[in-house]
Amino acid sequence: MHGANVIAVAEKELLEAIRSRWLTTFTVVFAMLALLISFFGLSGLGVGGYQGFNRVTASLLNLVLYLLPLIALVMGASTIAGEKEAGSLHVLLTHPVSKSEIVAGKFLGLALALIAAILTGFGGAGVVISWKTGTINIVDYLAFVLLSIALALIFLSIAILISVISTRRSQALGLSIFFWFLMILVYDFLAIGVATLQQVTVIIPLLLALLLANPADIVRVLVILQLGGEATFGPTLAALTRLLTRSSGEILLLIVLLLWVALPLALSIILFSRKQDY
Amino acid sequence: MKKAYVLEINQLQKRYGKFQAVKDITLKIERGEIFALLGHNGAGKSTLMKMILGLATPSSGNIIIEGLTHQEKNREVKRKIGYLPERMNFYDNLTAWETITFYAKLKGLPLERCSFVLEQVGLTEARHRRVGTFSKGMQQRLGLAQAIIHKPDLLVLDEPTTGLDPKGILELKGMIRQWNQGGATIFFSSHNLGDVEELAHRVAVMNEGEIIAQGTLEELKKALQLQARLTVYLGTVHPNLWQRLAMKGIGPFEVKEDSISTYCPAAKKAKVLEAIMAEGVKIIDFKVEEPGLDLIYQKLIEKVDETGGRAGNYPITRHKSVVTHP
Repeated sequence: MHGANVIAVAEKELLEAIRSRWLTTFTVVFAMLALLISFFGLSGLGVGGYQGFNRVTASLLNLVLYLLPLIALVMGASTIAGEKEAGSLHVLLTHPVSKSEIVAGKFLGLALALIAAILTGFGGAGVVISWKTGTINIVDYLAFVLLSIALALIFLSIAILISVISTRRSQALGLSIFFWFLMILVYDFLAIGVATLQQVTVIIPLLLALLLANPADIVRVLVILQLGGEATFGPTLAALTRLLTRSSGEILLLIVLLLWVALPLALSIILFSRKQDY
Repeated sequence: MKKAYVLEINQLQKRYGKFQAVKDITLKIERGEIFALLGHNGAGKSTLMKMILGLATPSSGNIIIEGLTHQEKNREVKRKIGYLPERMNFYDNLTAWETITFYAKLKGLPLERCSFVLEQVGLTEARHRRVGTFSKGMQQRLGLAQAIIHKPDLLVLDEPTTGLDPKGILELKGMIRQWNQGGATIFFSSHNLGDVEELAHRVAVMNEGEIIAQGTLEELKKALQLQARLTVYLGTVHPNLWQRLAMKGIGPFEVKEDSISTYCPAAKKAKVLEAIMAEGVKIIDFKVEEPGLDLIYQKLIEKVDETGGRAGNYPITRHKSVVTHP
């Protein structure tokens, strides 16, 4: 893989993303919502300090869990499928650039665009939180921002995989919205169903499996644990909490998160490189 | 020393499932040639071009570009080829300058080359405009700019004149000639027979995945025994002139008030004129209409249809050098 080619593709992708209406709209909506949540979330309650910070972060977490996967999927899904449809991919492939460089460059460029948008959104919210609560727990807030970025990158990686297997932009968008619906909206019903089971011995491994299979839930759990999760999970899930709050548990979740970024991306490169006819 | 052939295609086949898009094609393109590929839609031209560009992998046979194959030296081969697709959209949100510098970076070229090619295709003034606002003609120029930026040995153009206005077509032809004179070998496909006739040194006609004929226009005319139409304008009208000429084996003639016309092999034009003059008739003027590519193409397709779509029954005319294998 030639680094210069990856950078050239990333640069082009970043430039396109910054100028696209999708990203601009998303950044504005995301920043506004984050500001509103942190401003009004802290105004009415009369809670300040650490408790107020936790509450606002939990509200922001919901925003992050819905919005970030969606925008990452939409942006990533159109990238290769869109170029296939427009014909620019054919021209690109006649240049001395490999398919793995194209995938890596596209991921890097779009990731940078998403990170810039997320930081813009969280920057404003962070200022409001520290102003309203008089304090901000920098470590917790940074951990939250980093986990949000990880969430966006995971869904971007999955989106690129969807883009590689789709032939048209509309097909890729449809597939990615379906995937979002499944992972973000429907999935938790499964988890709720499992949690109502009677035997704790069955619940814990099942929940852990479900958790590892959905990156959005891993991020949710990690953020809650970061904010002091024992109370949030309640007595039923004490065992799960104990399992996860051990440092080995958190490391396991972080490794799985990393795999969620790396595996779809690696699979994209393999499938894209294997396709011989355009 | 550089090889004589820029592009060598040997017994190339491409199958998509049961459908055979390209059947056993052998073709050699010499350095400095302008070579045109003709054929109607679905004849297999695009598949052949895609294989040359490395966008599709041959089912069997091989393609050698400057002594290299896509399968072995993909990156090196790509540095030797420039490609202009028939239809494409560039990145709408990038400017012409950003687009061309992107391709230049992939090819490891300095930025001066970008200014130079944009100048060459006449996009210097529009360089900071977004490509999404470009007309079809301007997009085509940008496409050309990215195709020639690295001074490729082989320039592959897919229907380059489609969608261009007359002025654009004239300019494009001028550029193609200019690059060819600059040393680029050009391989292009076209539906416009006039353009092909004007530009190409050699042509190949494809039908149902096969090359049914290839050669220079002269070679094809000769192989098809196509005749020139000779019209002679006469000063004095001689009542039995054409009967007397017919006795000499010349004619038949189409007779008009002031002229007579006949079809004859290209080499016999002078003989016809001599015979008319020998009859003591005053010739005021004469006109020769050589058979064009349209007629050649029509005859070739007719021949294929006559043989039930089996082009193999028709002898392929080959450029003399093609027969000699290195």
